Amino acid sequence: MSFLDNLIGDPKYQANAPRQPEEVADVDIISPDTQRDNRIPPGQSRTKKWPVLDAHGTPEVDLATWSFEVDGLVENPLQWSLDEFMQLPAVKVYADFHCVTRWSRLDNVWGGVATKEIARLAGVKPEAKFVLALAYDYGWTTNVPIEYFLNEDSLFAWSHDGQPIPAEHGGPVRLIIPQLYAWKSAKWVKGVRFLEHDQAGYWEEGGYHMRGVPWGPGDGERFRWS
Amino acid sequence: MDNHSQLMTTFPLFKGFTENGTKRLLDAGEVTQHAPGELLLKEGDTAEFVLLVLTGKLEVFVQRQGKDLVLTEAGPGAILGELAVLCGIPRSASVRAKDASLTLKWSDEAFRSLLLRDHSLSQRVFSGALRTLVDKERSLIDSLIAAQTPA
Repeated sequence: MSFLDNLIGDPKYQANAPRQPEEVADVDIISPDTQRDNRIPPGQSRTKKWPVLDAHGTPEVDLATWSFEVDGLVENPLQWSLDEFMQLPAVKVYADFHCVTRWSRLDNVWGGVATKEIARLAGVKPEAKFVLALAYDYGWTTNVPIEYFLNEDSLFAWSHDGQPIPAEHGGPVRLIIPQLYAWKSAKWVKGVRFLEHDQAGYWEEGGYHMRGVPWGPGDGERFRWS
Repeated sequence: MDNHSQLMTTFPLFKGFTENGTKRLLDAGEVTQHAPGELLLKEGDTAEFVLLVLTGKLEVFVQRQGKDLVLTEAGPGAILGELAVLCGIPRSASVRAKDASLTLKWSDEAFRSLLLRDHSLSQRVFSGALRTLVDKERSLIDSLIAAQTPA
């Protein structure tokens, strides 16, 4: 197979320059970072592909028993099956995606339920300041400050560019927080816990940043040692 | 289990790690006790593992013309043998325990897998390994200059 065939065979390969947000039709929310003059954060490079990274490989997720739970500091702990979850009000978000390993994939349309909607349904208590996202891959977690979790452009996504999210990219449902590095966008998400105090997730226990803003200071909030 | 995970969080290489984070590194390897004088690595051997010194002191040396030449000592927090594993070359020096010591031993596969998955850790390990090489080169240059300078 030639190099070109390889690229043509990759349905996620982006052959064209990224669209400008104003050219994108049929979305509800434009992630504000896509409106920057330079959409590539410091220390990052654009990739036209969609690299696959994870801590333990792609887990086997049984869609029949899949469930999503909301617990911690909420008035109404909640649980949904996949069918029920995908009946929740859907939004489409146009956003860029920045990985701490220094690639950025621009120009993505995510479809799913807004994190704000989940928080509204659960009745998050005022003392909740952080969120721990829990995933299906062997107890993997990540922590996110609640204000980023509740950003207008944050969602639990089940589609990418109009197609279901492939398993290796975190399907059936993954968290998407466009304004933080992509490891905060938990793949294979199975729930969220609202917390008063910050609690390090999987990579954060290994020295990764507790917040993870790609736009600085310096070349981004990547690690707690740099 | 001893509190190796707590100890490891104090090493500069693992700055920012929590005990859960260093426990994962421990679980990927094996902790071994060494008596003074015990040989841990042998120059010329195939590189099949990497060592992290937990406690004690190790001595890095080569044998030339029947004599031991000690190159450096390695204490808690030092990684040894990673260059040979990463480059796929034989051991460039031998290592023995100077004092009673404890090491964490990662198989070459486990070590590569840790680095492949953890972008932050690989950056730190590579940066440390390259710094070691640069320091060696500098000391080599100093020795050459010293050898050429008339007494």
